[in-house]
Amino acid sequence: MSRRARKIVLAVISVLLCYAISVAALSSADSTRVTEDMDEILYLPNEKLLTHFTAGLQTIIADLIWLNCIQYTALEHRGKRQFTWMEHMLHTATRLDPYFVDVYRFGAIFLSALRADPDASLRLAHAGMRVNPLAWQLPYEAAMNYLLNKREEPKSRYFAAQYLNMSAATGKAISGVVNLAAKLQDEFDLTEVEKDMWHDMLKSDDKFIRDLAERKLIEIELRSACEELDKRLNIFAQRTGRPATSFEELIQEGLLSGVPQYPIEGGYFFIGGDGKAYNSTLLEDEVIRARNVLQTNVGFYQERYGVFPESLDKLIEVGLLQELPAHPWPGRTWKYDAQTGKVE
Amino acid sequence: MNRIIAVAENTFRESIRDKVLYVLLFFAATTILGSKVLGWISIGQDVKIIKDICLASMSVFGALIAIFVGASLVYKEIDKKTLYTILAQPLYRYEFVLGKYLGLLGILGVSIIVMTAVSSVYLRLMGGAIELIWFEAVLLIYWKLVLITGFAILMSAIVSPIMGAIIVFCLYVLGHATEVLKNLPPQFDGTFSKQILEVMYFVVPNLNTFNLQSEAANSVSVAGAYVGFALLYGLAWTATFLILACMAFEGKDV
Repeated sequence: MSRRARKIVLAVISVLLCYAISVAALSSADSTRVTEDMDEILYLPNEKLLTHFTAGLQTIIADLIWLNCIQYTALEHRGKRQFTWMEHMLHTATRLDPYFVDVYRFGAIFLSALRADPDASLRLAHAGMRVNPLAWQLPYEAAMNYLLNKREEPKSRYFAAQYLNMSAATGKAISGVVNLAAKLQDEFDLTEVEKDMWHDMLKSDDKFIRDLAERKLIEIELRSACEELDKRLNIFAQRTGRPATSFEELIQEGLLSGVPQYPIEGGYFFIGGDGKAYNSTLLEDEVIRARNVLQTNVGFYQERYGVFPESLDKLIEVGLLQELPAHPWPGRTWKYDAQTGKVE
Repeated sequence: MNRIIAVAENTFRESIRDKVLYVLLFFAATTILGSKVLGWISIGQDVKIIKDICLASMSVFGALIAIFVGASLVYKEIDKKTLYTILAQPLYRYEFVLGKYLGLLGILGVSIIVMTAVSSVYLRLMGGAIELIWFEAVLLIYWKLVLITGFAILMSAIVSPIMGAIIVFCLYVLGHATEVLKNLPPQFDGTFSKQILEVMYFVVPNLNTFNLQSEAANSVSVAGAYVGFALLYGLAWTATFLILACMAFEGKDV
């Protein structure tokens, strides 16, 4: 080996050695340094200010915030499920890149399906529609929001039909939207609409969206199971003149072949004090939704008055809520800490 | 005109040998080809993210080439004393400045063409569509670089390369933020400050005028007239900078 070749080999070995030392040192430093787990984003600047100081990199920053929002949503979905920062992140991303239709679309789905905040979902969809009038997905999501999350409101079907017509009028909507707009003229089962929507989501390339769709489809099945159990409980009550206290009684009466199985780990069916069938998974989901509504309004109160409300009834007194959502679990009530503003 | 072209050709050849150019082009290509990584963690927005990163790379790395190469262009000739030989020839000083400028524009043009070609092929391989708005966005990025290079040449004639690079970089950042001067909050209504700041909006070049990246990434078309006005706007500012640069160099004691 020539002297020059030996020098090159020596240099390469030295570089590799130094690199290996640096990797080992960094790993040791990371494991030595104790840092608190950050489950929320640290800081998100005011989106109006951010728009002006990106040095022309608005779209890249919007992409990064959107990717961060996906990670945050997935983490919250598996954790506390409060989604405190979600709306702010979505509005920041769309302000930086107002043509980013997917952020409006998936953001609206996340806000309604996960954070249980249909009004925020509609606000985002509306903002998207103003800038992207030809994006069929946005009025479609607004329609779905009215059909699935605001179904109790008067005229919800009327608004849903209007949005679906808007979506169809873009001329780019998939055929299902046009059919759905026509279907809305008649009475039909909204569960089927919901099922179709989540079945579409199952085809997504993204695992998080597929997992979400799978869970939502299971929840639909659980709701159907509860409805079916309620029917049989009614038959039992009519036959025996008293409500059933356990599923075994239904089995003995020949109304049920076995105790209902639960597809989500840790969940179970039970009969409440009111004689109705419940599923713990569905109830926990409703707890999170109702608690988020309360928590969001406690936050609004704190923003408006500078202090947390003394009690949850204050939210009604100042007009933030018309009524407090009942605790979904039979016999349980909300626990509220006026010092920290936390609702449990 | 022949003399300007001769200086331009010389500048082009000189800049082609500059290592900074290759380093920046290497980083630009790496960023463009690495853009797929971010796409993996999105929800089906990978093509949009690739487009964003490609256009941003052209803008940022193009600006860095303009800043680092442009800011030292005239100063280097003075520092190496080659300027005396050049000016001893039958050549006006403004011809020298314009030649230098056009040479650098040539380099930037080649860089942008290379980056556009790499981006377009990569985008097609990833399943993205290339539309007219994509090329309009690239054209306006180049036009922004034309303006920045004009300012860099002006700075090169006035201050040292490091100071020049810092000032041009500040203009790059400030130029993208000028809209804050126009969209003032209501607290400013009826105040003298508002009038001053609104005048300032027209004093600093608005580089966001050349920013069609969001439209290109989301396939939103823009009116042809807009592109025309943006080109005219850039041309007017560039001409202003070049006139000032020629005047500064004419009066410079070398």
